[in-house]
Amino acid sequence: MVEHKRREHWGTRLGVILAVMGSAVGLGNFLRFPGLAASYEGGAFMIPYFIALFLLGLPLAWAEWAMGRYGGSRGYNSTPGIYRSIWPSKAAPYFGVLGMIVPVCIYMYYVLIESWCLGYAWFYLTGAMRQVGYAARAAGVEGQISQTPYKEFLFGFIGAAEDGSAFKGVGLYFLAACFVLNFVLIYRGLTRGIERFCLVAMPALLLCAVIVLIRVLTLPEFEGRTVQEGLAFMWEPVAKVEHAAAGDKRLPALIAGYGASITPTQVARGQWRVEDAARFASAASEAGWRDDDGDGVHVNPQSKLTLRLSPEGVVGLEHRGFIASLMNPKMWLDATGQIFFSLSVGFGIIITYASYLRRNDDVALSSLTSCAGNEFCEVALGGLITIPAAFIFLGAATVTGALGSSFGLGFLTLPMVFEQMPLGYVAGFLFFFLLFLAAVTSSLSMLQPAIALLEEALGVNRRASVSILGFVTLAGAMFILYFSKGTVALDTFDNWVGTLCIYLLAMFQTILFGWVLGVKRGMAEIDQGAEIRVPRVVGFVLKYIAPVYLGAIFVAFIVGEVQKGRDSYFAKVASDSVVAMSVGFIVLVIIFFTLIIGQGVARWRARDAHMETLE
Amino acid sequence: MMSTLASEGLSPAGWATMLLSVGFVTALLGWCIWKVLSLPGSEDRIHSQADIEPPDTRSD
Repeated sequence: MVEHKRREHWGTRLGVILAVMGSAVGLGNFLRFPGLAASYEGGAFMIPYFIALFLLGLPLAWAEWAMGRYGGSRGYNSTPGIYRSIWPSKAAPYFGVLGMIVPVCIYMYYVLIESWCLGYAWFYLTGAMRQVGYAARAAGVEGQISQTPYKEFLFGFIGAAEDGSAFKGVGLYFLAACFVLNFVLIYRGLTRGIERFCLVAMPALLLCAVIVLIRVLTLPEFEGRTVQEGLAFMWEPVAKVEHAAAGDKRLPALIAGYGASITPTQVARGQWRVEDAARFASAASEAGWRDDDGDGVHVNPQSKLTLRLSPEGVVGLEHRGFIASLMNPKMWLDATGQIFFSLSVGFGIIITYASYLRRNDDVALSSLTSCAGNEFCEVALGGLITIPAAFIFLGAATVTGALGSSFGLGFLTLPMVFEQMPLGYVAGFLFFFLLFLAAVTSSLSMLQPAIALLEEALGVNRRASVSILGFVTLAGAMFILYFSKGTVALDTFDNWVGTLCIYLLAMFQTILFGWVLGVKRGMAEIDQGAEIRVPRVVGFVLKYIAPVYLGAIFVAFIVGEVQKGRDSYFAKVASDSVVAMSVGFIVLVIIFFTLIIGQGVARWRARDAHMETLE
Repeated sequence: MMSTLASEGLSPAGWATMLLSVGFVTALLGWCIWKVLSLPGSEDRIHSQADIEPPDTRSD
């Protein structure tokens, strides 16, 4: 059993709060959440999001802290070992493979996004973003900035145009820098140093975010779009229908982002002609909008926005509305996945770290404070900054579907906000650098579950386990970096692991807590040393409601995907070679950790037999 | 065809959704901060991943 020394504390209660906030904040708050929420028209997304927070996120966070400490007190620090301590079954440790591939595979693309943050901070520091800003102003009309230079810069940097192109640019160097930094910190056991640095950096990031928020809320009208409409896009719970006609100053807002060959300026000046409708319809089709009935009603298959065309011009843009959006099981899956991703629930991270706690340490208030810090950063800052800004600068159509990775939205939109701020280049550097630091702390914690398993299963020390893990994660990160076209590999990892596997792991842990450990023992474990009393209904939720809720969404999602046919999540594995290779890579990681767990099981059995002999 | 844009700013329902959501997460964080600050000895009993040091980092 690992000796548990008394932990060092932060000295002050304010230090505790900053430490908790520092751990909570990550890329999921400022980049992933806005991209996902925007792709589902914001307002509708928030319903399953908050339901998932109350019914799954918070209860499961308490359960993970409690199960981790329970397993730690029995001599286990790895997720498979902790499962074994709760469920004495031969199968139990093997469910822990999910607790390994989730943090390890997410690390593989998380470190890439981390490198984008570092890259953007560097570009602000060296003046490269200033050049992009000049180009955007030059390309803009009527004193406004154009999104095109920002898009070209981002896509060039991340290699979105062609596979392998990211290897030729500076992106490779930033990834290498992040990778080396992370592994030096974790190899040398210096993670506490960076965490202490973050005690200063996190308040600075929050302050910076608040300043950016104020600027977003005071942005002027852009191509006919206003902040009010941006907020409505995010928060309006009812169906939105936009209508405009030739000459309407708001028409460019509808057209921008559809790939139409007609420039917004032409339309705004009333230069719409009958033949333009046909050109626009053709361009809309090329951009992926479908008019299956030939009635001029084009539907975006991803966002479900409907564009009605007529010979006289654009009739209107209809968002599919609140109720219709709620019928989409993928949205419920993504909202639940985002809650898990953001709170690090279903990651295998909390359960590992909690195993190092003492028996009488609090888990109830610690968990709640961490979740609250996360939600504040995500909803009150990330949601209010990025989505309204994205709506203003990009328009609804681009925001809801044309950007590829949900992580990309912030990198495209926020620089346009900074361009319109006093000292915007300083703010841009600070924001991306501080976000980079937040990402470092999060990515370091993703490595700990696998380190704990490698140590327990192979009997090696920390440095050996870090070295093994370094090879595995480097291979994954290079794979994702190489297949950068359209960020397909990154999105496949994020969909299959960052959403689906997290979901499956959360489902298993809910059943483990509610039905194997048992609500009575589980709640007693949460109460042990607790600074607050967790409501008893949480036990009921974890035993009955959460498994049913998770199961229902999962079944609906599978049925929905099967009905989609060749557009489905699963059919893409057969039709897209990069998706197939990405899923294949994930399967290899699963096999690797299954073998390691098998080795661990053998060692645990030998240890148990030895203990019985001694007794 | 000469209709005008129907979608404008936030409706009362939109304002309510936004204020409730943002207000809730802000209030929850505020309550947690108050609770941590008002509890004697919380600096030694409240945890995050930041202050939990795996024992193996001390053994190498």
